[in-house]
Amino acid sequence: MLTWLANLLREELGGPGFLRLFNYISFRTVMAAMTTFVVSLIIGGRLIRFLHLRRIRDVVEDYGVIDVSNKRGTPTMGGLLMILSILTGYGLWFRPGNPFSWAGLSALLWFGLVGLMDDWGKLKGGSGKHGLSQGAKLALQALYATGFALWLLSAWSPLPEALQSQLYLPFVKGPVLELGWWSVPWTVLVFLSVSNSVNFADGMDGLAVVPAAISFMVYAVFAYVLGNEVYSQYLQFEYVRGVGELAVLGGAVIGAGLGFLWYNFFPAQVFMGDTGSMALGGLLAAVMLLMRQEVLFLIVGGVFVLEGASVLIQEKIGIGILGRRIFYRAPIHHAFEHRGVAETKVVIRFWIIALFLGFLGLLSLKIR
Amino acid sequence: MRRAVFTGGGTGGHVYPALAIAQALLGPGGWDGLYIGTRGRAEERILASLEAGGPLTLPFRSASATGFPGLRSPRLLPFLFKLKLGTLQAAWHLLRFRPQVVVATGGYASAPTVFAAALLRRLGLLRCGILIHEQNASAGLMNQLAGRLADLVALTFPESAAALPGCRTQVTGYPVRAGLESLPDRLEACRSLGLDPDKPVLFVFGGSQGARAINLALYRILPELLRQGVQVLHGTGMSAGTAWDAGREHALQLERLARECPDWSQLASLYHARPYFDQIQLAYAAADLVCCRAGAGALFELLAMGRPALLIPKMGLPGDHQTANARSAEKAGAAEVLLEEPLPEEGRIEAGLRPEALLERVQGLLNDPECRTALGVRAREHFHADARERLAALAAALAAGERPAGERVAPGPRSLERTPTLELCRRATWEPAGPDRRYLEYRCLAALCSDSWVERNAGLKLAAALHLERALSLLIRLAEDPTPVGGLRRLLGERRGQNGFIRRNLMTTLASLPATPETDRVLRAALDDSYWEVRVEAIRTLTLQERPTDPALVERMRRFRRQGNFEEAQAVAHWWAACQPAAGWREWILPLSLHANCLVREAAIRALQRKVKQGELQLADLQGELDLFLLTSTHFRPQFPLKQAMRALAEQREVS
Repeated sequence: MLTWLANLLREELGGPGFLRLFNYISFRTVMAAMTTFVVSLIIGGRLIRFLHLRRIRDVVEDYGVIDVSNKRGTPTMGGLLMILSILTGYGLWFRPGNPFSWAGLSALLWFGLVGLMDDWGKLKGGSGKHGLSQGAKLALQALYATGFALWLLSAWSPLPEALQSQLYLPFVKGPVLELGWWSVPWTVLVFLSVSNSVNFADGMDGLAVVPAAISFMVYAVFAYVLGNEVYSQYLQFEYVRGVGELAVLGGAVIGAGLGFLWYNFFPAQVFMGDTGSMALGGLLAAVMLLMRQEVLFLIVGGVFVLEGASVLIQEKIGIGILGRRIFYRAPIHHAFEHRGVAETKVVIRFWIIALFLGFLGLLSLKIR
Repeated sequence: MRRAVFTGGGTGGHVYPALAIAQALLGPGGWDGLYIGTRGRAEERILASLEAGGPLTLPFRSASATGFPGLRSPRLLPFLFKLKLGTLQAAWHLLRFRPQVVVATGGYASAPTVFAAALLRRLGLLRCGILIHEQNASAGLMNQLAGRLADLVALTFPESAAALPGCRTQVTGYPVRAGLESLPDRLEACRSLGLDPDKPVLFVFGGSQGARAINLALYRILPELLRQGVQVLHGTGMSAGTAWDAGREHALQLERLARECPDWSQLASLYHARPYFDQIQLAYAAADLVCCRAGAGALFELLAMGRPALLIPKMGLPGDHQTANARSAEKAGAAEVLLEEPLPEEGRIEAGLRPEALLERVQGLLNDPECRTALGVRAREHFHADARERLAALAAALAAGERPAGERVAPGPRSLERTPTLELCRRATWEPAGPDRRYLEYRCLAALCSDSWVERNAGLKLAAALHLERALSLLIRLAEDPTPVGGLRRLLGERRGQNGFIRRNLMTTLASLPATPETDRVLRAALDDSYWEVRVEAIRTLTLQERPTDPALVERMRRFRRQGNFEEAQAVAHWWAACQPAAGWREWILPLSLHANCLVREAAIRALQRKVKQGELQLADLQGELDLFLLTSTHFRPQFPLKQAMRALAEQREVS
């Protein structure tokens, strides 16, 4: 919106030339990040008190037997903080006419809403209850993913023909597979697995948000390159007109994530809840699919892949088929905790891994 | 002319009470009746046989329905579709017939009619009362669902009210068909059945299909009973399915008896077996004692005639309703109950009766005429003789637009029979020796031989909570289960036996049962299990019970210390402290001082602490070596002073 205002000032009213800056993606990315960060800090404390007073937290039945060493009673649904600050921060710095920004925002809101319904149901149902049933949650996610896939295949698709239904692998130059209509189930699979793995990873303070921010950083770089005619040609990527807008969105998410982390790292003052993890996961899936870099997530989001895979193996193969555990605990971060590694240590080790995997992902820009 | 619709079915047990009420209501005249049920099920057959020649004529209309398949079942959608279709069909029949009252006796076949009647009433298209009758002490699923739609739920047993929260209920008893409550003369009955009236008569039957468990136990004790001069009247059953053919089994058993008993030819004259008794009143009348299942129908026919009975409820039915019926009758002193138990049979475990137990109870009752008389008297008292007329009167009152009095049930605690096995564990720890102990034991044994591993798992936990020694032989069978596994589990490397959770929890359960040589064998075998949690639990049980050791066991533990995972290393440290002399601490504990896992180091220090506390080790001996322990820990537990303050405040409230 500021871009539009700056151009208006400059062109119609003869404003100063530096207002041209507002057109540059790099400038807007950094500014979006800073804005969302500051907005998070400003509304964070208030939102936490609001959530607490609205009883959006684990119920503590009796303060006489309260456990002094755990974090029960911490407000949840902190994902609202991220969503609100992204909406304000990105709202200031985005380009309204760009289809990529609307696609990203719709994913953020839809998945955030699904998470919100789940969180709300859990609160109403008392501890240990599921909010939405597993099936309903997956169905709502798949519904959005199907629409998203059909939109990408349709005449209104913002992607060039070469990207619409192709499968690209990292470190490989051209497309490896023409998916055709199979790209619909493929998109659904990507949405479901990414959003749910981020949800699984959200089990310790700061464990989901930092690796997610790192993934967004990598994808922001990709978006910047793919959306730039010169750089994309140099690195031999298919140029996607307008996709640079996703870099701005990525910047906004990073800022909001760090602002949320301000309150969320150990010991947490607020949890993101399904509201936050679903929204982050859904948006991440949308961003990677819009650049056809979804397989890269196996590297960049290695932490999430590990979390999701550990749950899948433990639940389906272990408990479902064999009737035994395969890991000490699942998701995998609880296995480390079970082995006597404190929460803080597990979290920061996972951050380190995520950072290295992020670098590895960036390498795939050049090595192909 | 007033009009009434009757519905209920799926199985015969729901049809007969509906017919009994119909008899009482339509008999005096002035009423038109209609029966709505499912085509091809018991109700259609019974209705057809009725029309052949009787005073009661009820036209039959069909509405489709099937049994509820479970929420996660793939057949849920077809079920819902059929239910919807059936409700439309029923609504059509109701609109054409325009009844003033709908009487439903439960079972899935009654669902469409009750739903349709409630719906039409809500839409203002039909004015009719809805009366539901629940036969069992443990209310059926259909009646739990439909109970709230009804004006009144009539109960047979007061116990079933607990499962019907929010419904208006009234206890009426069970409507027995007319002509069954009056008993023919015993002499007459004996003569027509070819029995000697001077000798005691035992009547054993397991319903029209027959009960395999009862029959098998009876064949075993038959010679003993007959030798004592007891005449045995046996309804073997007409079951001819693939699972069990009653007739073939009977022939085989007779052959065996003839072969094994030298005096069978003399005894055989006292044994009267038939597949089925058409005039069951005669058999009841002739019998001094009746042994049968505890379905509501058979139970109340018995009670109506005031016959002393030994009830043998079938194990593993929905809501355990036969056991609930039997226990209710037993509590009233109207019958005796013998519970089934899991028995080994050709390598499998099946619900069955121990022949000795059956013989003991039957002999006890046959030799105690006073007790039998008392049972008979109490049975008649317990039986609501006017149930049929009361139900008919209630239906008539509803048809006239009155609202008969009924108690609205407040949600209460579930009966034991309806409580899931896992929750019974908590019950078991509350009242370890309460009056329900026998039932809890029965449920535990039933769960242990269930087909579902989740249920078996719950059974293990219940066995631990009850410290149930009787379960020991079953547990050992489970531990040494040789059944080969198939399918995906086989592909994933499992070969035989129970799944990992069962094996693990079995080891945990053994800790609350006495140590025997067999359990020792099982625990030692478990030390080489392929699943680490089984090994760990086995070590923990050995530790808890401080079982004696021998060199082979010590050697096995030494191997764990060297190559086990961290849980095993922890468990071995505790085991050493419980079962080994303190002198070996340099070999067992000291190497753990630098173990990579801080939890193992912690366990090692606690093991030393235990030895020092028991005075087996002197702190002075350790001083130098304690320095070797790596004390940096990756694990810690935070303390939040804010929460401590809040807790301190809340505790003040309790003190003051």
